[in-house]
Amino acid sequence: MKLIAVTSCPMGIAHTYMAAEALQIAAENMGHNIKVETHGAIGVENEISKEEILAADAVIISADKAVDKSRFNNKVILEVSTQEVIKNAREVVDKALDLVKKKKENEQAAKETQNVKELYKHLLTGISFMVPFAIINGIFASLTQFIRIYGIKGFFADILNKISFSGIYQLELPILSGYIAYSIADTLGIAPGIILGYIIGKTNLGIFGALISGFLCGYIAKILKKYVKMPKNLNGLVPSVIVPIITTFAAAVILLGLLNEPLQFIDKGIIFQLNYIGKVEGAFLGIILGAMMAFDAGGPINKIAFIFAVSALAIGQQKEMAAVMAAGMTPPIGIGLAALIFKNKFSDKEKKSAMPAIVLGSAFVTEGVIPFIKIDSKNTLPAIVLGSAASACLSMVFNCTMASPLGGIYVFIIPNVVGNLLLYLAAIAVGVIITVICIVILKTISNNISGRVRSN
Amino acid sequence: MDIDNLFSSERINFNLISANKNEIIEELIHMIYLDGKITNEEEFKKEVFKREQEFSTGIGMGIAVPHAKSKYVKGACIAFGKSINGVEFGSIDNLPAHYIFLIAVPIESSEIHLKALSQITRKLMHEEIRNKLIKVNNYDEFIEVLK
Repeated sequence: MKLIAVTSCPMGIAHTYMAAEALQIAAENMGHNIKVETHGAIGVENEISKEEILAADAVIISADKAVDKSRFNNKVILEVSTQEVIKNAREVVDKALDLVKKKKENEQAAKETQNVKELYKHLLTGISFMVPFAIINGIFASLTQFIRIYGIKGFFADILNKISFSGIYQLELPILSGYIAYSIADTLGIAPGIILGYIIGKTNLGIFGALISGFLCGYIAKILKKYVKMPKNLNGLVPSVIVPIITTFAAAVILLGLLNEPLQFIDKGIIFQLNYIGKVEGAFLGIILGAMMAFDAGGPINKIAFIFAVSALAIGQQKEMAAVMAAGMTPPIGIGLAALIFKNKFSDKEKKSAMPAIVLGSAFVTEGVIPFIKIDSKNTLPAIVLGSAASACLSMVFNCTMASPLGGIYVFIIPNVVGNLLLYLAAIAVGVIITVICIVILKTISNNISGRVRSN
Repeated sequence: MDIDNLFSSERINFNLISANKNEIIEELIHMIYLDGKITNEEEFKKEVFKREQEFSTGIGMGIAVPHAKSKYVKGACIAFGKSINGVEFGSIDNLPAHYIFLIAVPIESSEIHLKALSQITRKLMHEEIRNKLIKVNNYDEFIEVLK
């Protein structure tokens, strides 16, 4: 380690130098490099330069009067008295090294959270580009089914058939993969990502395969762009030819060659699990998804439940989407209704947010409940978690299905988008009622307590 | 030699008789007064005690370095005393002090003297020097160790 130190005692005759010597001896015995600047009656000796400060791992200030620390900005600093150093310099050096170690550990932890945040961002980007495709596909597929069931024919029926039979659902995985790659490597990632995603879809490597393909293409493209160098005039070849070709090929080798078996296995596993989900497991899954949607409205946990449902939808499973949408609509509608009906339990601010919440909630915009959470999270959170868990659970138990990732009641009315519509509405209604009952009870208790406190 | 100027056989005593810290400091101050190095024994004593109040100059390992910078000091000098029985000095290791260096420095000190002082105090931090100091019994051996 490279250490620097400043010693300074008021008289500047003895302790300054003794502390300096002690530090020197200890640090060198411990195998470290140290430079000690002394502030004594003579003046400043052995002054530490700016370069030495930059190069140092830690600064030890052994002083009994104030020393200007501004030159040591951003450095690890240990401040001790000259006594401490003279008494046990080794211990002081150890303390300084401990500080350095702790700083490194903190930096490492911060880097790791940063990495996780980035991965999450890439996933979200891919999903957010994929959702419109899923909505369009889901709605039109449902409508097409509807007209087939009821034998409707005509010009518009023909158009619908044409849309659905062109296989537009196949666009979802390529888009997911492509835009994850885009988030990582900008435009360089798009083509390889989409292409690999398309191949993944065709070879049945499933949603998991598409996710991996997105990250793989993205990071390979990013690394190639950074490290591949060409002579000046041929520089343009790197992004236009070299990166796309090599990325696509490398990702293909990995996904279709090395990871082929594992991905097939995982995909079958997922489909198997979701297809044959029993009543009890389904109910349980519903409870969890419901709780996640409500507990973290607008936040990452909510998004992950949503991503799960959309992914299931992409491989043809519509039950989870129904459960998640029910769970997402229940909180704003429930709390909003409660605030409108039981006016005396809610503050004026909350009542203002009630109508907007109901409107947003019906459109499956869970964020409508956020003002209530901000104002009174203690009571709101338990109520909405219970309500959403209930509606999602019932949705699963009633075997309700939802073909569109977004939309709320505005897609309910489109024929065939919802499977078992009446039961679905019942499930949501039950969730809403539970939410209302809970919030009213909790608010009542809460208001009584604070009333008692105020009157005391 | 520089340190010869700071030390003197007139200001060295291998058998201090005082039994407590304040008296030992007085005993040493008296030595340098008799040697003509300070102009006012009482005032200088006050300044040394004041410094001692701030925090003890018992640096442990049996050594103490009471000191003061004062206008009553004519020339920079050190008095050394050995206490065979040891004296409680409020040292940072809680052990008695046996080797006491009283340092007197004028307000306007020459750089040479201050440098020499710093070299001497630095030497005290070395274990080998301290070990040799224990065996010293006369002025010449003393100077040898601290050179």
